[in-house]
Amino acid sequence: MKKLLAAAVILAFFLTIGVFNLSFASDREAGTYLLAQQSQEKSAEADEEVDEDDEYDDEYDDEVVQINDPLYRLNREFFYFNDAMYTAILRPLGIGYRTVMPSEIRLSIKNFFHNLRFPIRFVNCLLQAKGTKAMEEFATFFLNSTVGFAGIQTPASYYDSLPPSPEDLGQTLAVWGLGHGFFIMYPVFGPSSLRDSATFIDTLLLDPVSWMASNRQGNLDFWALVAVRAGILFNELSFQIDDIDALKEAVFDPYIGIRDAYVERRAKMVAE
Amino acid sequence: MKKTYIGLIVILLAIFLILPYDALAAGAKDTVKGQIDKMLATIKQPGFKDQPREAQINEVRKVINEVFDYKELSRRTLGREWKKFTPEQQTEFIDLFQRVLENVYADRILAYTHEKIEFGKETQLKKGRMEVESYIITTDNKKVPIFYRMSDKSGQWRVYDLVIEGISMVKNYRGQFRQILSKKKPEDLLQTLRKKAAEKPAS
Repeated sequence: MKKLLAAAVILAFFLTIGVFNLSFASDREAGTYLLAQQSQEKSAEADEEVDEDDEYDDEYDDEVVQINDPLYRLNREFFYFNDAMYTAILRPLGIGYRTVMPSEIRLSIKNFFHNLRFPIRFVNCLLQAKGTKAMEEFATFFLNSTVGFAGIQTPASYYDSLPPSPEDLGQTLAVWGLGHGFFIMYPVFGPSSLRDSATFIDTLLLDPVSWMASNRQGNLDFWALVAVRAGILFNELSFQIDDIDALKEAVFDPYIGIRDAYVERRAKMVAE
Repeated sequence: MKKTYIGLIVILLAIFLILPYDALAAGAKDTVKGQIDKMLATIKQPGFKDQPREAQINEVRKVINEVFDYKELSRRTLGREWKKFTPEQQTEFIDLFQRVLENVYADRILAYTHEKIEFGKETQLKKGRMEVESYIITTDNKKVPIFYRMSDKSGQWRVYDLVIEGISMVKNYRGQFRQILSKKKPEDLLQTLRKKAAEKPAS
Protein backbone atom coordinates (compact mmCIF):
# COMPACT_ATOMS: atom_id res chain seq x y z
CA MET A 1 0.00 0.00 0.00
CA LYS A 2 2.78 2.35 0.96
CA LYS A 3 4.57 1.46 -2.24
CA LEU A 4 1.57 2.36 -4.34
CA LEU A 5 1.12 5.61 -2.51
CA ALA A 6 4.73 6.55 -3.05
CA ALA A 7 4.51 5.70 -6.73
CA ALA A 8 1.37 7.78 -7.05
CA VAL A 9 3.04 10.72 -5.33
CA ILE A 10 6.00 10.57 -7.68
CA LEU A 11 3.77 10.30 -10.71
CA ALA A 12 1.69 13.22 -9.56
CA PHE A 13 4.87 15.19 -9.00
CA PHE A 14 6.10 14.63 -12.53
CA LEU A 15 2.70 15.33 -14.02
CA THR A 16 2.52 18.57 -12.12
CA ILE A 17 5.91 19.57 -13.41
CA GLY A 18 4.84 18.68 -16.91
CA VAL A 19 1.65 20.71 -16.78
CA PHE A 20 3.41 23.55 -15.05
CA ASN A 21 6.16 23.70 -17.63
CA LEU A 22 3.73 23.42 -20.48
CA SER A 23 1.46 26.18 -19.29
CA PHE A 24 4.43 28.49 -19.16
CA ALA A 25 6.10 27.50 -22.33
CA SER A 26 3.19 26.64 -24.53
CA ASP A 27 4.11 29.29 -27.04
CA ARG A 28 7.78 28.43 -27.19
CA GLU A 29 7.91 25.44 -29.46
CA ALA A 30 4.27 25.09 -30.31
CA GLY A 31 3.64 22.86 -33.25
CA THR A 32 7.16 23.05 -34.57
CA TYR A 33 7.45 19.33 -34.85
CA LEU A 34 4.52 19.07 -37.15
CA LEU A 35 5.85 21.97 -39.16
CA ALA A 36 9.26 20.40 -39.35
CA GLN A 37 7.81 17.17 -40.60
CA GLN A 38 5.71 18.85 -43.20
CA SER A 39 8.56 20.88 -44.55
CA GLN A 40 10.74 17.79 -44.60
CA GLU A 41 8.23 15.97 -46.69
CA LYS A 42 7.84 18.90 -48.98
CA SER A 43 11.54 19.34 -49.58
CA ALA A 44 11.90 15.61 -50.05
CA GLU A 45 9.47 15.81 -52.90
CA ALA A 46 11.20 18.83 -54.35
CA ASP A 47 14.54 17.14 -53.99
CA GLU A 48 13.71 14.37 -56.35
CA GLU A 49 13.09 16.72 -59.21
CA VAL A 50 15.97 19.13 -58.82
CA ASP A 51 19.37 19.21 -60.29
CA GLU A 52 21.27 16.19 -61.30
CA ASP A 53 24.15 18.44 -62.26
CA ASP A 54 25.33 18.73 -58.68
CA GLU A 55 28.13 16.21 -58.56
CA TYR A 56 27.70 15.65 -54.85
CA ASP A 57 24.04 14.95 -54.89
CA ASP A 58 23.85 11.26 -55.49
CA GLU A 59 26.53 10.56 -52.96
CA TYR A 60 24.81 12.13 -50.03
CA ASP A 61 23.13 9.73 -47.79
CA ASP A 62 20.81 12.49 -46.84
CA GLU A 63 18.76 10.75 -44.23
CA VAL A 64 18.23 11.94 -40.69
CA VAL A 65 17.52 9.76 -37.67
CA GLN A 66 13.93 8.60 -37.75
CA ILE A 67 11.78 8.26 -34.66
CA ASN A 68 8.16 9.06 -33.88
CA ASP A 69 7.91 11.90 -31.44
CA PRO A 70 4.25 12.64 -30.77
CA LEU A 71 5.11 13.89 -27.27
CA TYR A 72 7.55 16.35 -28.80
CA ARG A 73 6.43 19.36 -26.77
CA LEU A 74 6.24 17.55 -23.46
CA ASN A 75 9.52 15.77 -24.16
CA ARG A 76 11.23 19.05 -24.89
CA GLU A 77 9.94 20.54 -21.66
CA PHE A 78 11.17 17.54 -19.71
CA PHE A 79 14.49 17.89 -21.47
CA TYR A 80 14.80 21.51 -20.37
CA PHE A 81 13.75 20.47 -16.88
CA ASN A 82 16.43 17.77 -16.76
CA ASP A 83 19.01 20.15 -18.10
CA ALA A 84 18.13 22.80 -15.53
CA MET A 85 18.23 20.23 -12.74
CA TYR A 86 21.59 19.01 -13.96
CA THR A 87 23.09 22.46 -14.25
CA ALA A 88 21.73 23.81 -10.98
CA ILE A 89 22.05 20.78 -8.70
CA LEU A 90 23.64 17.63 -10.08
CA ARG A 91 26.65 19.13 -11.82
CA PRO A 92 27.90 21.20 -8.86
CA LEU A 93 27.21 18.29 -6.48
CA GLY A 94 28.94 15.91 -8.86
CA ILE A 95 32.01 18.10 -9.13
CA GLY A 96 32.18 18.33 -5.35
CA TYR A 97 31.79 14.59 -5.02
CA ARG A 98 34.40 13.99 -7.68
CA THR A 99 36.85 16.26 -5.87
CA VAL A 100 36.34 14.65 -2.47
CA MET A 101 36.02 11.02 -3.51
CA PRO A 102 39.07 9.37 -5.11
CA SER A 103 38.35 7.95 -8.54
CA GLU A 104 39.38 4.46 -7.39
CA ILE A 105 36.53 4.38 -4.91
CA ARG A 106 34.02 5.82 -7.35
CA LEU A 107 35.07 3.26 -9.93
CA SER A 108 34.78 0.45 -7.40
CA ILE A 109 31.25 1.49 -6.52
CA LYS A 110 30.33 1.70 -10.19
CA ASN A 111 31.86 -1.70 -10.95
CA PHE A 112 30.23 -3.33 -7.94
CA PHE A 113 26.72 -2.32 -8.92
CA HIS A 114 27.34 -3.05 -12.57
CA ASN A 115 28.44 -6.57 -11.66
CA LEU A 116 25.39 -6.94 -9.44
CA ARG A 117 23.09 -6.32 -12.37
CA PHE A 118 24.40 -9.46 -14.07
CA PRO A 119 20.96 -11.20 -14.01
CA ILE A 120 19.57 -8.53 -16.33
CA ARG A 121 22.26 -9.07 -18.93
CA PHE A 122 22.24 -12.85 -18.56
CA VAL A 123 18.48 -13.32 -18.79
CA ASN A 124 18.21 -10.97 -21.75
CA CYS A 125 21.01 -12.77 -23.57
CA LEU A 126 18.97 -15.94 -23.11
CA LEU A 127 15.73 -14.26 -24.18
CA GLN A 128 17.51 -13.21 -27.37
CA ALA A 129 18.84 -16.74 -27.83
CA LYS A 130 22.41 -15.48 -27.67
CA GLY A 131 23.99 -18.51 -26.06
CA THR A 132 27.61 -17.52 -26.51
CA LYS A 133 27.01 -14.07 -25.09
CA ALA A 134 25.15 -15.56 -22.15
CA MET A 135 28.13 -17.77 -21.40
CA GLU A 136 30.52 -14.86 -21.77
CA GLU A 137 28.43 -12.81 -19.39
CA PHE A 138 28.38 -15.67 -16.93
CA ALA A 139 32.14 -16.10 -17.15
CA THR A 140 32.60 -12.36 -16.72
CA PHE A 141 30.33 -12.35 -13.68
CA PHE A 142 32.10 -15.33 -12.18
CA LEU A 143 35.56 -13.90 -12.75
CA ASN A 144 34.73 -10.40 -11.53
CA SER A 145 32.83 -11.69 -8.50
CA THR A 146 35.69 -13.89 -7.33
CA VAL A 147 39.05 -12.61 -8.54
CA GLY A 148 37.59 -9.12 -8.81
CA PHE A 149 36.50 -8.97 -5.14
CA ALA A 150 32.71 -9.05 -5.53
CA GLY A 151 32.90 -7.07 -8.74
CA ILE A 152 34.88 -4.14 -7.41
CA GLN A 153 37.52 -4.86 -9.99
CA THR A 154 37.03 -6.05 -13.54
CA PRO A 155 39.65 -8.67 -14.36
CA ALA A 156 37.37 -9.97 -17.13
CA SER A 157 37.89 -6.77 -19.09
CA TYR A 158 41.46 -7.89 -19.81
CA TYR A 159 40.19 -10.81 -21.86
CA ASP A 160 39.27 -9.95 -25.42
CA SER A 161 37.24 -13.13 -25.52
CA LEU A 162 34.92 -11.69 -22.85
CA PRO A 163 33.45 -8.57 -24.44
CA PRO A 164 30.73 -6.86 -22.43
CA SER A 165 27.22 -7.36 -23.77
CA PRO A 166 24.96 -4.85 -22.05
CA GLU A 167 21.70 -6.52 -23.07
CA ASP A 168 18.40 -5.34 -21.64
CA LEU A 169 14.69 -5.93 -22.16
CA GLY A 170 14.39 -3.03 -24.61
CA GLN A 171 16.93 -4.70 -26.86
CA THR A 172 15.25 -8.07 -26.38
CA LEU A 173 11.95 -6.63 -27.59
CA ALA A 174 13.78 -5.08 -30.54
CA VAL A 175 15.27 -8.45 -31.42
CA TRP A 176 11.77 -9.88 -31.24
CA GLY A 177 10.77 -7.38 -33.89
CA LEU A 178 9.29 -4.51 -31.90
CA GLY A 179 9.96 -0.94 -32.99
CA HIS A 180 10.57 1.98 -30.64
CA GLY A 181 6.94 3.03 -30.74
CA PHE A 182 7.77 6.61 -29.92
CA PHE A 183 10.40 8.63 -28.16
CA ILE A 184 10.02 9.48 -24.47
CA MET A 185 12.15 11.93 -22.55
CA TYR A 186 11.64 10.98 -18.93
CA PRO A 187 12.15 13.55 -16.26
CA VAL A 188 15.25 12.60 -14.24
CA PHE A 189 15.80 9.31 -16.12
CA GLY A 190 16.38 10.90 -19.50
CA PRO A 191 15.90 9.58 -23.04
CA SER A 192 13.99 6.37 -23.72
CA SER A 193 11.16 5.10 -25.89
CA LEU A 194 7.95 3.22 -25.38
CA ARG A 195 9.76 -0.02 -26.11
CA ASP A 196 12.87 0.81 -24.13
CA SER A 197 10.76 1.67 -21.10
CA ALA A 198 10.69 -2.09 -20.63
CA THR A 199 14.15 -1.69 -19.10
CA PHE A 200 12.36 -0.47 -15.96
CA ILE A 201 10.96 -3.99 -15.68
CA ASP A 202 14.53 -5.31 -15.77
CA THR A 203 15.41 -3.11 -12.85
CA LEU A 204 12.28 -4.05 -10.93
CA LEU A 205 12.51 -7.82 -11.39
CA LEU A 206 16.12 -8.70 -12.10
CA ASP A 207 18.21 -6.15 -10.22
CA PRO A 208 19.34 -7.61 -6.89
CA VAL A 209 19.04 -4.17 -5.34
CA SER A 210 15.28 -4.45 -5.86
CA TRP A 211 15.27 -7.95 -4.38
CA MET A 212 16.90 -6.68 -1.22
CA ALA A 213 14.13 -4.18 -0.74
CA SER A 214 11.26 -6.54 -1.41
CA ASN A 215 12.65 -9.13 1.00
CA ARG A 216 11.75 -6.93 3.92
CA GLN A 217 8.10 -7.77 4.06
CA GLY A 218 5.38 -5.27 4.74
CA ASN A 219 7.15 -2.15 5.79
CA LEU A 220 9.53 -2.09 2.92
CA ASP A 221 11.58 1.00 2.86
CA PHE A 222 10.73 2.44 -0.49
CA TRP A 223 12.63 5.63 0.03
CA ALA A 224 15.75 3.79 1.10
CA LEU A 225 15.59 1.99 -2.23
CA VAL A 226 15.14 5.25 -4.08
CA ALA A 227 18.09 6.71 -2.20
CA VAL A 228 20.33 3.77 -3.06
CA ARG A 229 19.33 3.96 -6.71
CA ALA A 230 19.89 7.70 -6.79
CA GLY A 231 23.28 7.14 -5.20
CA ILE A 232 24.26 4.59 -7.83
CA LEU A 233 23.21 6.87 -10.67
CA PHE A 234 24.88 9.88 -9.09
CA ASN A 235 28.12 7.96 -8.71
CA GLU A 236 27.97 7.04 -12.39
CA LEU A 237 27.21 10.61 -13.34
CA SER A 238 30.43 11.74 -11.68
CA PHE A 239 32.33 10.05 -14.51
CA GLN A 240 30.36 11.79 -17.22
CA ILE A 241 30.48 15.45 -16.24
CA ASP A 242 33.26 16.35 -18.68
CA ASP A 243 31.58 14.49 -21.51
CA ILE A 244 28.28 16.22 -20.84
CA ASP A 245 29.99 19.60 -20.74
CA ALA A 246 31.73 18.92 -24.05
CA LEU A 247 28.48 17.71 -25.57
CA LYS A 248 26.60 20.80 -24.50
CA GLU A 249 29.28 22.93 -26.07
CA ALA A 250 29.03 21.05 -29.33
CA VAL A 251 25.29 21.07 -30.00
CA PHE A 252 22.97 23.54 -31.70
CA ASP A 253 19.63 21.97 -30.85
CA PRO A 254 20.46 19.88 -27.79
CA TYR A 255 17.08 18.13 -27.64
CA ILE A 256 17.28 16.90 -31.24
CA GLY A 257 20.96 16.05 -30.78
CA ILE A 258 20.31 13.92 -27.70
CA ARG A 259 17.21 12.29 -29.13
CA ASP A 260 18.87 11.26 -32.38
CA ALA A 261 22.03 10.14 -30.61
CA TYR A 262 19.94 7.96 -28.31
CA VAL A 263 18.18 6.30 -31.23
CA GLU A 264 21.42 5.66 -33.12
CA ARG A 265 23.19 4.29 -30.09
CA ARG A 266 20.33 1.95 -29.26
CA ALA A 267 20.27 0.72 -32.86
CA LYS A 268 23.93 -0.17 -32.56
CA MET A 269 23.36 -1.93 -29.23
CA VAL A 270 20.49 -3.94 -30.71
CA ALA A 271 22.64 -4.92 -33.67
CA GLU A 272 25.39 -6.26 -31.43
CA MET B 1 69.11 -5.73 -77.62
CA LYS B 2 66.53 -3.24 -78.75
CA LYS B 3 63.84 -5.32 -77.16
CA THR B 4 65.48 -5.11 -73.76
CA TYR B 5 65.58 -1.30 -74.01
CA ILE B 6 61.95 -1.16 -74.93
CA GLY B 7 61.18 -3.53 -72.12
CA LEU B 8 63.11 -1.36 -69.69
CA ILE B 9 61.38 1.79 -70.85
CA VAL B 10 58.02 0.13 -70.52
CA ILE B 11 58.84 -0.98 -67.01
CA LEU B 12 60.11 2.46 -66.04
CA LEU B 13 57.03 4.08 -67.50
CA ALA B 14 54.86 1.64 -65.66
CA ILE B 15 56.62 2.46 -62.41
CA PHE B 16 56.16 6.18 -62.95
CA LEU B 17 52.53 5.65 -63.76
CA ILE B 18 51.91 3.47 -60.77
CA LEU B 19 53.80 5.59 -58.26
CA PRO B 20 51.36 8.46 -57.74
CA TYR B 21 48.42 6.08 -57.53
CA ASP B 22 50.33 4.09 -55.04
CA ALA B 23 50.93 7.18 -52.96
CA LEU B 24 47.20 7.80 -52.85
CA ALA B 25 46.52 4.18 -52.14
CA ALA B 26 48.81 4.69 -49.14
CA GLY B 27 45.47 4.27 -47.62
CA ALA B 28 42.94 5.91 -45.40
CA LYS B 29 44.03 3.99 -42.35
CA ASP B 30 47.72 4.86 -42.64
CA THR B 31 46.84 8.50 -43.20
CA VAL B 32 44.60 8.88 -40.18
CA LYS B 33 46.89 6.75 -38.05
CA GLY B 34 49.81 8.99 -38.97
CA GLN B 35 47.80 12.06 -38.09
CA ILE B 36 46.70 10.67 -34.74
CA ASP B 37 50.29 9.75 -33.94
CA LYS B 38 51.33 13.27 -34.85
CA MET B 39 48.62 14.64 -32.58
CA LEU B 40 49.76 12.51 -29.66
CA ALA B 41 53.37 13.48 -30.28
CA THR B 42 52.33 17.13 -30.25
CA ILE B 43 50.53 17.04 -26.92
CA LYS B 44 53.12 14.77 -25.33
CA GLN B 45 56.17 16.79 -26.30
CA PRO B 46 58.00 18.15 -23.26
CA GLY B 47 56.89 21.60 -22.22
CA PHE B 48 53.66 21.48 -24.20
CA LYS B 49 51.44 21.61 -21.13
CA ASP B 50 53.41 24.53 -19.73
CA GLN B 51 52.33 26.81 -22.54
CA PRO B 52 49.30 29.03 -22.12
CA ARG B 53 46.09 27.29 -23.08
CA GLU B 54 45.58 29.49 -26.10
CA ALA B 55 48.94 28.40 -27.55
CA GLN B 56 48.15 24.75 -26.83
CA ILE B 57 44.85 25.03 -28.63
CA ASN B 58 46.50 26.70 -31.61
CA GLU B 59 48.99 23.91 -32.00
CA VAL B 60 46.37 21.19 -31.69
CA ARG B 61 44.14 23.06 -34.11
CA LYS B 62 46.84 22.93 -36.78
CA VAL B 63 46.89 19.14 -36.67
CA ILE B 64 43.10 18.84 -36.50
CA ASN B 65 42.78 20.88 -39.67
CA GLU B 66 44.97 18.43 -41.55
CA VAL B 67 42.66 15.62 -40.52
CA PHE B 68 39.27 16.98 -41.54
CA ASP B 69 37.91 17.80 -44.96
CA TYR B 70 35.68 20.62 -43.78
CA LYS B 71 34.14 21.29 -47.16
CA GLU B 72 33.03 17.72 -47.63
CA LEU B 73 31.95 17.54 -44.02
CA SER B 74 29.86 20.71 -44.30
CA ARG B 75 28.18 19.65 -47.52
CA ARG B 76 27.33 16.29 -46.10
CA THR B 77 26.01 17.79 -42.90
CA LEU B 78 23.68 20.15 -44.68
CA GLY B 79 22.74 17.56 -47.29
CA ARG B 80 19.90 18.85 -49.39
CA GLU B 81 19.79 22.10 -47.42
CA TRP B 82 23.19 22.96 -48.95
CA LYS B 83 21.52 24.27 -52.08
CA LYS B 84 19.44 26.72 -50.07
CA PHE B 85 22.66 28.54 -49.21
CA THR B 86 24.19 31.06 -51.60
CA PRO B 87 27.86 30.43 -52.51
CA GLU B 88 28.91 33.15 -50.06
CA GLN B 89 26.80 31.62 -47.33
CA GLN B 90 28.27 28.23 -48.10
CA THR B 91 31.80 29.52 -47.75
CA GLU B 92 30.94 31.20 -44.49
CA PHE B 93 29.20 28.08 -43.24
CA ILE B 94 32.29 25.95 -43.89
CA ASP B 95 34.48 28.49 -42.13
CA LEU B 96 32.22 28.83 -39.08
CA PHE B 97 31.48 25.14 -38.75
CA GLN B 98 35.21 24.51 -38.92
CA ARG B 99 35.82 26.93 -36.06
CA VAL B 100 33.10 25.36 -33.93
CA LEU B 101 34.42 21.83 -34.49
CA GLU B 102 38.01 22.94 -33.93
CA ASN B 103 37.09 24.27 -30.53
CA VAL B 104 35.14 21.18 -29.59
CA TYR B 105 37.87 18.77 -30.62
CA ALA B 106 40.80 20.84 -29.37
CA ASP B 107 39.06 20.75 -26.00
CA ARG B 108 38.58 17.02 -26.08
CA ILE B 109 42.12 16.35 -27.24
CA LEU B 110 43.62 18.51 -24.50
CA ALA B 111 41.51 16.59 -21.98
CA TYR B 112 43.06 13.39 -23.31
CA THR B 113 45.16 11.74 -20.65
CA HIS B 114 46.64 8.31 -20.88
CA GLU B 115 44.04 6.34 -22.75
CA LYS B 116 45.38 4.09 -25.46
CA ILE B 117 44.29 4.15 -29.09
CA GLU B 118 43.99 1.01 -31.15
CA PHE B 119 43.25 0.73 -34.84
CA GLY B 120 41.05 -1.92 -36.39
CA LYS B 121 40.23 -2.73 -39.97
CA GLU B 122 39.34 -0.39 -42.80
CA THR B 123 36.42 -1.02 -45.10
CA GLN B 124 35.40 0.60 -48.33
CA LEU B 125 31.99 2.26 -48.13
CA LYS B 126 31.93 3.34 -51.76
CA LYS B 127 34.51 4.24 -54.34
CA GLY B 128 36.68 6.94 -52.81
CA ARG B 129 35.16 6.51 -49.36
CA MET B 130 36.62 4.46 -46.56
CA GLU B 131 35.74 3.74 -42.96
CA VAL B 132 38.64 3.22 -40.57
CA GLU B 133 37.88 1.61 -37.22
CA SER B 134 39.67 2.73 -34.09
CA TYR B 135 39.12 2.22 -30.39
CA ILE B 136 40.01 4.33 -27.42
CA ILE B 137 40.88 2.13 -24.48
CA THR B 138 39.85 4.04 -21.38
CA THR B 139 41.65 3.87 -18.06
CA ASP B 140 39.11 1.37 -16.76
CA ASN B 141 39.78 -0.82 -19.79
CA LYS B 142 36.65 -0.05 -21.77
CA LYS B 143 36.71 0.09 -25.54
CA VAL B 144 35.11 3.16 -27.05
CA PRO B 145 34.70 2.68 -30.81
CA ILE B 146 35.52 5.70 -32.96
CA PHE B 147 35.17 5.15 -36.68
CA TYR B 148 36.63 7.64 -39.15
CA ARG B 149 34.82 8.02 -42.43
CA MET B 150 37.21 9.34 -45.01
CA SER B 151 37.10 10.56 -48.58
CA ASP B 152 39.89 11.16 -51.09
CA LYS B 153 38.01 13.92 -52.86
CA SER B 154 40.52 16.59 -51.84
CA GLY B 155 43.42 14.59 -53.32
CA GLN B 156 44.33 12.92 -50.06
CA TRP B 157 42.45 10.95 -47.48
CA ARG B 158 40.61 13.22 -45.12
CA VAL B 159 37.95 12.69 -42.51
CA TYR B 160 34.41 13.81 -43.32
CA ASP B 161 32.59 12.06 -40.49
CA LEU B 162 33.28 10.61 -37.07
CA VAL B 163 31.12 7.78 -35.81
CA ILE B 164 31.46 7.48 -32.05
CA GLU B 165 29.69 4.50 -30.45
CA GLY B 166 27.48 4.21 -33.47
CA ILE B 167 26.55 7.89 -33.46
CA SER B 168 27.47 9.68 -36.67
CA MET B 169 28.55 13.25 -36.04
CA VAL B 170 27.44 14.40 -39.47
CA LYS B 171 24.06 12.71 -39.21
CA ASN B 172 23.46 14.12 -35.76
CA TYR B 173 24.29 17.67 -36.85
CA ARG B 174 22.18 17.17 -39.96
CA GLY B 175 19.15 16.44 -37.78
CA GLN B 176 19.81 19.50 -35.65
CA PHE B 177 20.38 21.83 -38.60
CA ARG B 178 17.35 20.52 -40.41
CA GLN B 179 15.24 21.21 -37.34
CA ILE B 180 16.57 24.77 -37.22
CA LEU B 181 16.19 25.31 -40.96
CA SER B 182 12.64 23.99 -40.89
CA LYS B 183 11.52 27.26 -39.32
CA LYS B 184 14.43 29.61 -39.93
CA LYS B 185 16.47 30.89 -42.86
CA PRO B 186 20.07 29.96 -43.67
CA GLU B 187 21.09 33.41 -42.47
CA ASP B 188 19.65 32.67 -39.02
CA LEU B 189 21.60 29.43 -38.83
CA LEU B 190 24.76 31.30 -39.80
CA GLN B 191 24.03 33.80 -37.03
CA THR B 192 23.78 30.92 -34.52
CA LEU B 193 27.05 29.53 -35.83
CA ARG B 194 28.76 32.92 -35.58
CA LYS B 195 27.78 33.13 -31.94
CA LYS B 196 28.94 29.60 -31.24
CA ALA B 197 32.22 30.07 -33.10
CA ALA B 198 33.00 33.20 -31.10
CA GLU B 199 32.62 31.37 -27.80
CA LYS B 200 35.91 30.61 -26.17
CA PRO B 201 36.37 26.91 -25.52
CA ALA B 202 35.69 26.16 -21.88
CA SER B 203 38.71 25.29 -19.80
